[in-house]
Amino acid sequence: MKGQLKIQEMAFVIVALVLLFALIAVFFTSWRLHSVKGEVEALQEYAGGKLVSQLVNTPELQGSCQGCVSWDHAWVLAEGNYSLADRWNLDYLEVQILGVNRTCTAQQYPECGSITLIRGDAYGTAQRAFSAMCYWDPSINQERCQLGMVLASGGKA
Amino acid sequence: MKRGQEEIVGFAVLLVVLAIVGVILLGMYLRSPVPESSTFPEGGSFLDALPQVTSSCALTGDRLISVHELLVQCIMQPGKQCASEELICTVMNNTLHSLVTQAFPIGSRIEGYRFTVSEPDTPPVVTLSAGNCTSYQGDQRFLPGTGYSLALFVCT
Repeated sequence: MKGQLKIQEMAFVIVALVLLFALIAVFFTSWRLHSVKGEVEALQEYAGGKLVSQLVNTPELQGSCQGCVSWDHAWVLAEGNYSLADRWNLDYLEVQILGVNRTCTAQQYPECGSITLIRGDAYGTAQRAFSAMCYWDPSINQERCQLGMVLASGGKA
Repeated sequence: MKRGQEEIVGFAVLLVVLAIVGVILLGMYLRSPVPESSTFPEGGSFLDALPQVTSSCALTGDRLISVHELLVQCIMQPGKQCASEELICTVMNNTLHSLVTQAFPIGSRIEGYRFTVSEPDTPPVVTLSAGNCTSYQGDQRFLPGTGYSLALFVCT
């Protein structure tokens, strides 16, 4: 009887230990997964920023200065049939001028604030980067650059 | 050895095992790399784009100068005026304030920001800040030809 009790005690202790280690393993795994998720998000943001800066510096979009977007180029690309989604491997691409809420149409261009160049059927969260949007402004007879934003999704982002 | 003594020894062994597991986990936690949080991805692109923006200040003729030229002129000749007879530094402050508030509206995503234009080891010539935060992510860019740098710190 005494021996049986001892075996029972040992069994309880072993079960308790297994449960304890299982709990520790669960906590540790969830903590690691959480930190991996954060690292993935940071990497995605970094890759997205890189992607947008590469896009801004392509000859198709680049304006007269380094890193500027030509508003005219963007409009021509949006209006034409250039298969941009395949060319740049993107699901979504939009350029915006901050503080101007009108979407560009043929009637409103260039006095508008948003040109969508690529709009796929499904796209995730767009990565964002600031850029100067430059166009010829006849009212001041010179090129005007305004603070804008490039939003891109897909590809390597 | 009595039964009570055996149980105490068992309990002590259990505590030692737990302590060892705890130390191992703590060691792994402390050795894991601290997540990179020193940069705000959009901050760098903002500082790159900002100097290229056209301001509302004309110096000679009707040509409007860029924010980069505006900053350089304000730093080099603070008393100078635009063609509109406004002080260059006043136009610069207004322009920077307008651009920073447009780019980083305080709300759900941005809790606060601090933007400065400064020379190393001297107080900033421009400081724009909003919101209330303790932990910032930021970036900075040197302003060519001046020795000054633009810095932006944002908390999200």
